Amino acid sequence: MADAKMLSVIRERIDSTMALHSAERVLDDAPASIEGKLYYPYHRYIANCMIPTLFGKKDVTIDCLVDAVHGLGATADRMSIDQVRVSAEASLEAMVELEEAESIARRVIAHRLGRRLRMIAPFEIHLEAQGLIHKGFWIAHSDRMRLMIDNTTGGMYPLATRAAVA
Amino acid sequence: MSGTVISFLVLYYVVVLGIGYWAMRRGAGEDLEGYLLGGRQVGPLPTALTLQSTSMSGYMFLGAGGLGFAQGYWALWYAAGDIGGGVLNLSVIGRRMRKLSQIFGALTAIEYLEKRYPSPAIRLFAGILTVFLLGFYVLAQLIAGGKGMALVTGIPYPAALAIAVGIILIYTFMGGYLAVAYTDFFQSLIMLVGVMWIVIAAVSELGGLTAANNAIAELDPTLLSIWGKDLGFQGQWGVVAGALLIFSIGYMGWPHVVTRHMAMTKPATARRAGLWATLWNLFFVPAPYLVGIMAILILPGLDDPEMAIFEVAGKLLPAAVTGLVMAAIMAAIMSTADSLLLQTGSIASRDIYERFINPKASETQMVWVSRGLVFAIAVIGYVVALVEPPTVFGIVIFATSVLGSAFLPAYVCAVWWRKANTPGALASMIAGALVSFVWQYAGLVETTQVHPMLAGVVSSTVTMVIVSLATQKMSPVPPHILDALDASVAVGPIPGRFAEASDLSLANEAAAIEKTLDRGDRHG
Amino acid sequence: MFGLPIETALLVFGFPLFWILYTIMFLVVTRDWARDSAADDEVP
Repeated sequence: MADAKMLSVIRERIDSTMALHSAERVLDDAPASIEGKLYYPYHRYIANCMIPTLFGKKDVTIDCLVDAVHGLGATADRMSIDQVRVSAEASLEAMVELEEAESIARRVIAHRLGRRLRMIAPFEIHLEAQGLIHKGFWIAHSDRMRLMIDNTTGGMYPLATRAAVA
Repeated sequence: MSGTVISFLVLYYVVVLGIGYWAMRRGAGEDLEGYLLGGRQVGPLPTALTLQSTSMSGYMFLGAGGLGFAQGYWALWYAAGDIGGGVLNLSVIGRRMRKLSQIFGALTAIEYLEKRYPSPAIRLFAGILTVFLLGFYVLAQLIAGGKGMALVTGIPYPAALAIAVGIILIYTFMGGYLAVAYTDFFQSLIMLVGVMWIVIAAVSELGGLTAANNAIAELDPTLLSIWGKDLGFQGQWGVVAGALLIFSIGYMGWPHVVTRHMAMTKPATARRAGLWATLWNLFFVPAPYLVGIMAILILPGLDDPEMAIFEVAGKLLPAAVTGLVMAAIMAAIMSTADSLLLQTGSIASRDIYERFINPKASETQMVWVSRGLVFAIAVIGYVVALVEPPTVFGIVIFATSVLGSAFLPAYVCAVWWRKANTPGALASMIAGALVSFVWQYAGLVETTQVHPMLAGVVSSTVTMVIVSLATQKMSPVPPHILDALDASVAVGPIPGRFAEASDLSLANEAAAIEKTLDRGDRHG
Repeated sequence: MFGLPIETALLVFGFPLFWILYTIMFLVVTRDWARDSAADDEVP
């Protein structure tokens, strides 16, 4: 395909058949079809943190993703990454700069650690940038509506676009 | 207090530390990471127990008991609202705030307010007010901790207070070392059993509830009325209304409480939590007031009404049980203080220092700002608690009235009213805070017979509505916020089942994907 | 009732009853919310 590029993509766990099945179930079994897949960009970081404990400092590794369109950060479970060839139109453009993404990642991790451990302490967070990765979202539609299905978690969300075209 | 009590108190802390030690030993590497990621569910019972038991604090054990002792059944006006505070909060704001805060990417409840009502002034005012008032809550816990410690150990109050403050600071600065977070469930369980035991023991001691009430009637029948001792509040519906509102709708104005909505993983959590909250509150909210009322008969010579529950426990429970229960109560108080200080520290460092003073602040700098503030609150709190300790009841009612009045319309309208704009929110916060504060200190309660909470909430709500409507044209709610509100409610004509099945965390991705698809559709 | 004047009995029992009813209503109105957990369970 023209304008194709290699993307680092979080390994898919939901294929199009499973996605369709999920979609039809929540659409009250109305007939639906999969239009395609879009890839959403995230800046990925691996944070090595030193957590103070009674037995000295414990080393903990946390994955963090920063939404490269909206700049929202969140910690994440360990993930497997594949290299996938994708057409240019199938991936969204990253808008958030690296520097900003890094400070967002740092902030999210520090906040999470402080809250979970219930203490105020410097956690010695060392961030390793892992570059841009993408997550695939299946786009499905029925005659009434469109929705997207996260191809790693199966989570769904309605899409308020113009009326879906068959 | 006897040696047995103290021994079991010490034993309790040894067990707690032991649990923490064991949990940490077990929790090497992956387990700790899993815990930090907050991923897998703990289970509804431990979660619910921990959620509810964080409401057990100095107010419950000192304030409520003290009011029951002093005013009899009048005190239950406060309980009447409080029983429903949890479910009300969850049903009105819970899910929507969770979704909206997710879309905004807000980490604190104060940041959330600025995202919804864009303006630095909102964040600054809300941040400073919250830090100031949470400081008062901490003071209440310090007094409760100090008095409790003094009673249990026999150490003079100044030293006991210092010890309580010290332990609270250790919790807050070094909680991670002690795996404080792991032991909450165990502590909640002890407290649950302990409180039930105290109530049952108190009622049994007096031969049952009917016999107790008959005995109170002989002593002073006004203590059984709804108007308080000597019918002091007779006909004062304005005060009654405030008492009802303060712990029912008041919770929706506490930044440190509404922040819990932001941490929910799914709507079903709000539902279950609402059920647990009511079940828990049905017993545990009236219980301390009731024990305070029973104390009128059990401890007629009581000097400090706020010590009613501690003293009843000491008198009626076996020494060993007293030790364990006292320890659990102390732990609850200190844990509450710790939570409040963590929140306060976080607001001070993120919402004030990083936001306004040093945007490039490093994490280390922010930690020092947090710690500095926490230490300052502890020191100031110690001095005030020592020199002129107000009653726990007084402090909590004051702080709740001002917080609730200032923030209730802001948090509720954030998710329910599309026209609630920045000038409206700012004006309502200022009006609510000022009115409730002045009402209290200018002695307007006596002259108007209206509770500061009622006056404050009415002022802030009216202000929100009037100012928002008056300034709609010059300061409309930005479109991206209206979009976020739409997303937080429902999207278009979709099946109800699907609306509720949506993964809340995908809202932002969906917004961007919608735009991309629209562009693609347009280009054919 | 329990030796209490009628208004006090109303206060003591009336409000808890109100909140029980409110909670039941909340659970009924939001019964669809439980589906959210079900949807998650079916994801591999």
